[in-house]
Amino acid sequence: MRNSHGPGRRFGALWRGASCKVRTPQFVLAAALLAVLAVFVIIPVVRIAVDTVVWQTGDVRLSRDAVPGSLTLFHWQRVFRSPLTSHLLTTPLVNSILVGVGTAALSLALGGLLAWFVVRTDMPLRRVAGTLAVVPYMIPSYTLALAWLTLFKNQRIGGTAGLFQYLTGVAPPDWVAYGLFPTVVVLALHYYPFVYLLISNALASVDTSLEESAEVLGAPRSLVLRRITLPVVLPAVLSGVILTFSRAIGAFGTPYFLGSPVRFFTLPTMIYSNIGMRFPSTANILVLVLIALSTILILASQKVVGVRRSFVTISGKGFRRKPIQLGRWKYLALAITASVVLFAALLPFIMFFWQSVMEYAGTYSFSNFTSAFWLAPAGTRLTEGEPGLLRNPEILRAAWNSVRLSAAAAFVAAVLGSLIGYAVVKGRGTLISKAIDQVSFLPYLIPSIAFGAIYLNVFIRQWGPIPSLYGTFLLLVLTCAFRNLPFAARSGVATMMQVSGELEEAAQTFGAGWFYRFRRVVFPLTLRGMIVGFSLVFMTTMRELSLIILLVTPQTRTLTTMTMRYQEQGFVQFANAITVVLVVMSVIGVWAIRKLGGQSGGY
Amino acid sequence: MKLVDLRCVTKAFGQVVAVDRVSLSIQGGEFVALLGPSGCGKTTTLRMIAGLEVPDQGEIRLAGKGVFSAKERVVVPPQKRNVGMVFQSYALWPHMTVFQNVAFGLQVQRKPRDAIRREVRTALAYMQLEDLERRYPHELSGGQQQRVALARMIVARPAVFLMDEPLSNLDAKLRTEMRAEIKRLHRDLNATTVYVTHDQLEALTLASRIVVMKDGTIQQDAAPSTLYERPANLFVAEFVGSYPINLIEGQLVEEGGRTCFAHPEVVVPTKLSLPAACGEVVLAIRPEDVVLVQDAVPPPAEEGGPLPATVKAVFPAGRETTAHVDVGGRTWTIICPKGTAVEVGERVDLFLPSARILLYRRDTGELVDEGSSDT
Amino acid sequence: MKLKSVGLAAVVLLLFGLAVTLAGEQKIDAETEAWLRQFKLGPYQEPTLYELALAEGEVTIYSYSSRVHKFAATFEARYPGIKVNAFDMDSGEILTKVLAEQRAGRFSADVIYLKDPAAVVAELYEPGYVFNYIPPDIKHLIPPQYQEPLLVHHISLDVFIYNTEVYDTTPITNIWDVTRPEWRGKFLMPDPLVTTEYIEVLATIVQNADAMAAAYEEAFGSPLVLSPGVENAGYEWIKRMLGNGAVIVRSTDDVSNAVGAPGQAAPPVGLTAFSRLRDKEKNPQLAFDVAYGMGPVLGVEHQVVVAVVNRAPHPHAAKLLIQWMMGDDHGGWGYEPYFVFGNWPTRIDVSPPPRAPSLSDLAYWNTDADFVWDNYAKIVDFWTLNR
Ligand SMILES: Nc1ncnc2c1ncn2[C@@H]1O[C@H](COP(=O)(O)OP(=O)(O)O)[C@@H](O)[C@H]1O
Ligand SMILES: [Mg+2]
Repeated sequence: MRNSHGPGRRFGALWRGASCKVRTPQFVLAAALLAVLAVFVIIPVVRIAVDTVVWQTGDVRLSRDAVPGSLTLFHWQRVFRSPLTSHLLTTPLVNSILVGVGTAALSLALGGLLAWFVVRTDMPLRRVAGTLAVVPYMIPSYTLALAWLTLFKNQRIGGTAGLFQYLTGVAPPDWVAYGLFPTVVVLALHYYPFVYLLISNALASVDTSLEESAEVLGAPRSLVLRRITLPVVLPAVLSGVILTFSRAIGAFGTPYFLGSPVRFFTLPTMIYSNIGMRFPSTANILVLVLIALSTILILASQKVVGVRRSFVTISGKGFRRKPIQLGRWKYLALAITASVVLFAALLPFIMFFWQSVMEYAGTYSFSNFTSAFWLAPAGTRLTEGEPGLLRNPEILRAAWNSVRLSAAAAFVAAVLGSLIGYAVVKGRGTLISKAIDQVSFLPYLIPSIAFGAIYLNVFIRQWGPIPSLYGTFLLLVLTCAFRNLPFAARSGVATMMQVSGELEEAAQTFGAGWFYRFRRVVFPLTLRGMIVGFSLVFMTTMRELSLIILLVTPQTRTLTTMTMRYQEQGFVQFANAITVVLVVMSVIGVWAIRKLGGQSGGY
Repeated sequence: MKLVDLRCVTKAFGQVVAVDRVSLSIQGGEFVALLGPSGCGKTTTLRMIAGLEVPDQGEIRLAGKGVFSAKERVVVPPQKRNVGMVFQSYALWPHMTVFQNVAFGLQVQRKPRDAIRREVRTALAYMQLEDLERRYPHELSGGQQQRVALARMIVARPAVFLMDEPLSNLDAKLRTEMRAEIKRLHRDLNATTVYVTHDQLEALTLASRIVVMKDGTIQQDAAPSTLYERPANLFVAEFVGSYPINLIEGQLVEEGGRTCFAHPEVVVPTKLSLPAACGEVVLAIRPEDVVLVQDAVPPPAEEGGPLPATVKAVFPAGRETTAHVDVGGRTWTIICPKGTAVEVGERVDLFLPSARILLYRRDTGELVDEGSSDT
Repeated sequence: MKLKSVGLAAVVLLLFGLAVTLAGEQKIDAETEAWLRQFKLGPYQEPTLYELALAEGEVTIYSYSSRVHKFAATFEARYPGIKVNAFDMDSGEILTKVLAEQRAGRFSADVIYLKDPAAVVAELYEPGYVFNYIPPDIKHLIPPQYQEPLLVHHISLDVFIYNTEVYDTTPITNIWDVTRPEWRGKFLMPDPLVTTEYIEVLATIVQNADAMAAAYEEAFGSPLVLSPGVENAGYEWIKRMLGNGAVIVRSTDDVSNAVGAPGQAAPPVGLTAFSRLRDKEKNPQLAFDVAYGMGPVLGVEHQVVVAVVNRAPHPHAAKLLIQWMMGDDHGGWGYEPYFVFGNWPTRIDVSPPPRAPSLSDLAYWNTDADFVWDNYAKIVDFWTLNR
């Protein structure tokens, strides 16, 4: 190809190109999205960064020189160059990376395998498995951690020995019971549904004739997988890896719960404890480290996918799909799927339910059965006067709030996510597209407790045209929507990448304006991805607690905020019953949205 | 009337100039093929006409109306250009049935329901797709998908048909069939068509005019016969033709008052009159124009030669037999007349009719034309 | 607690009020009028707190404890017409929320009720974001150390516990016992960096370094030799305890469940909240008790404070609510949710809850908000470096 003729000409072309682009709806959309992200994502992140160089009120405990409100580099020195550095930063960072890499790898294996079984093979009970495969994500991960300890606990932390030791008489070694290994397994069992959802979505749109034609040419299965299937699902795989890695390095509960007995601490432990101890600057610096870590991963993954290479699978050329015959192996596939689902979803769920119908917590016998925590009228002695869950109007209102909030946040996020996907993919290679892509992922890396605190501090005031949203339900919706936007945006980008741009262009040549073609062509084609985004946000918001605790009002309290109340009073039964309700509501919600979307996305 | 008019249109993607100062005018009813190797900018040109790509420079007018002008900063979006396009990938909407796909354009135009139904049915019938209207694209064969894409385009009655390698995804037999279909379409509708292809045979058989492109620039813009008979440069000469054109290097010299092509082994008289300006040239001749002379047959008059050659390979193909021969180290293709039989290793003489030879300057590759030399 | 009398008192008051308003016009001369005005009698009598609060109509409280909903309900029943907006969240979250509101000038909360007095005093009280309110009727019933700078609602204790299935009496009698080899890896405590009230516990241990040093000598018979760079006996205990493989868990119930689980051969000991003993009512299998014989002390005290927020939109209702929370002038239902085993009211006229030992019978250290605040970062860093 010829090069342009001289720099002057190039500059002119650039300028003119830009001025023309300004008028395209894609550009307008991208600019609008960036503006929205600026308010809801960039401002919070900037606040995080600024807070690291400003003395906070609590910092007088750290240094006599602290003048709250004035600038300082003290916190950066404390984290990066002090005797504390290895305890505060390096060791936890290494541990976090280990957890992240391990979880991402295991999630990829589990999620990829399950997705392949469900979407591409003739494994029996595929549909049921497909639905159940996402349930582990709806169950709080700490319950899985609890389940792990119930099985593999040894005498190290006191208490009763685990089931394994009880049955075999052999105490599991510490590395099985606590620390990195169980953390990775539990987190992977919890987060693999991300990978599963993304990959099954991608696999569902792979033209099997691509694979078949390669096989006809005599390529062995492994080669076909590597050269044909993998490239097509690569964006989904990378998205899944980024999502699980980032979540795993940011996870607090499970790594802490399983790690602290052997003093295995990760970065989030340090973040949470510094927030709890009211040293927000230290916490924020560590948050920035997490952000940097994930950003490196994202940039690396972009190198892998490349900007120009696209993996269009919905190309407007029809294709057929044929399940792979597994033969006898299909029972092995079923067994693997069943055991994952059983261990990660059903077992914890049953445990919860059981523990919600015990008169005395921790006593597993039939004589100990009671339905009081579900059905008792107010004034029952056993429940200290509290009515059963299903008779408590406050609980029912909170449940309604949870559903309302989750659905609204998921809707907002899904719509934004698909618009982001559209803007990012359409503008591929442009600066604005990259900016939107990166920025929309940022909230994912901020611990929810920090995110909630920032939203509180930002939206308590009026900002120009944006009124103070403090105390409104809208603020809750926006907080949950933006905090979980990365799910929807990732899924939106992954889906859009698969949809050939020509499908929209074809509509354009028929005279369809932007809204019309978005409604008739782009939207239906990305619906599947939107449903994935919606489901992920819905499930996550359902379980959200620390994100919204600072923002809820008595009128908008959700079910999760009620669990705290019961836990504090020692009513594990109530707390467990609420978890059961939350999981059931999540399942119903996700099922309903798929049903709804499935009807219009049936191609 | 000029229905499509490109003036000095340029488009670069980063460092790559995909289309470089292309000017092109197309009259109503013309069937213009954009021909060239992959990556030469055909698709980009087509997409700029459709408005899917915004040029950096130049001007585009459709039906007399300016739809793009870099100077006046006018960009009319695709949906306001009234063009129809068939994409290389067909771009059928996978979530719509055949009927819905075809009806889309009419729905955009807000036509009444029954009018839409009627027109879609007519178009489907015309493309022989009556029974498939409830199917989804993935339930169709490649040829059927192609027909749907065509039906979808014609039903909207655009002013210009743009087709981007519509047949490249089909197998050979289907391709021939669809070629006829497209020809019929053009004849019946007399629609102005811009047809992108890298297949010169497709261009030659379908188009009323062919524009050959290379590296983003137009090499030649001519009727198929002119293109074939008098390629404007070596690139076009080599690109067009079912058989590769035969080439040999030499000089233009004066001999006996005539301008002749001289090569150590052969001298061919030309119809040119001014040799001195040219010097180093390449002689090109189409295989079917080379006259094979075997032993006894006397050489025809007015022709250069004989040029000795050795038969390297023979390809009998029913109706005609072609052969590869070695000419001074170059491989030529020749067509053996009916009834003649050559054998591998046989030495033959080739005669080059002066009227059929083409001469190109060795430095620029341009045709040494009578127009330019007859002064 | 004279809980029943509250209702009666209310009825009496109400009837009395009715009688006053029903009385006919009085003849009053100017001199009497001035006298009435001066001493606020007759028509010049000041409205009651309830009347003032009633005009405000509602009150908003941020509470660290979810039992707020219980006393809110009794408050609403006792003072009809005043609605309680009760938020329950962590103490740290209350601090964050109030700070944000105060800085933005969005005055929403009326009352805050939370732990961690050190931070409350330094971050909210000193900048003038919250103010102390002691209901006048009960001021004389509260020891002075619980009146300033903020009113202490109740206190609780963090104590050492042991397994009662295996041990008849406490196997540890000295705080230094947990640094002995036989308890290696067998001492559990909540992570102070996560359950931050344990920073108060550690700070109090450091503050009582002299007593710690004496206890060491008592336990080991020789004076304590500090490790290089360690400041005092309190820090030394932290260092040795951690060095002895102490197991750090997330919360107090993790400690009590591990120590109290039945069927253990060699159960550990632990440091946890006194109130965890209540868990035994809901799970009778748990077998643990407080190591009452511990020296130098059994544990460390925690304070829960209550305060009125700066520019509270419902100041009278706030006062009324605090009065109710403190058990009002008769010891009413307002305090009832906290009248449980493991909490001790600060009012001297209220006896400890059933079966609970009297505070005066227990040896424990008081926390000093100033000391905790000043040494907070130092202790956190020391812990981080040695864990
Ligand atoms: N969207 C694009 N971004 C960058 N380069 C492009 C893009 N589209 C086309 N090109 C480049 O422009 C040149 C011409 O492409 P194209 O018009 O598609 O060629 P053709 O259709 O003749 O094969 C090629 O080198 C191609 O790589
Ligand atoms: Mg092309």
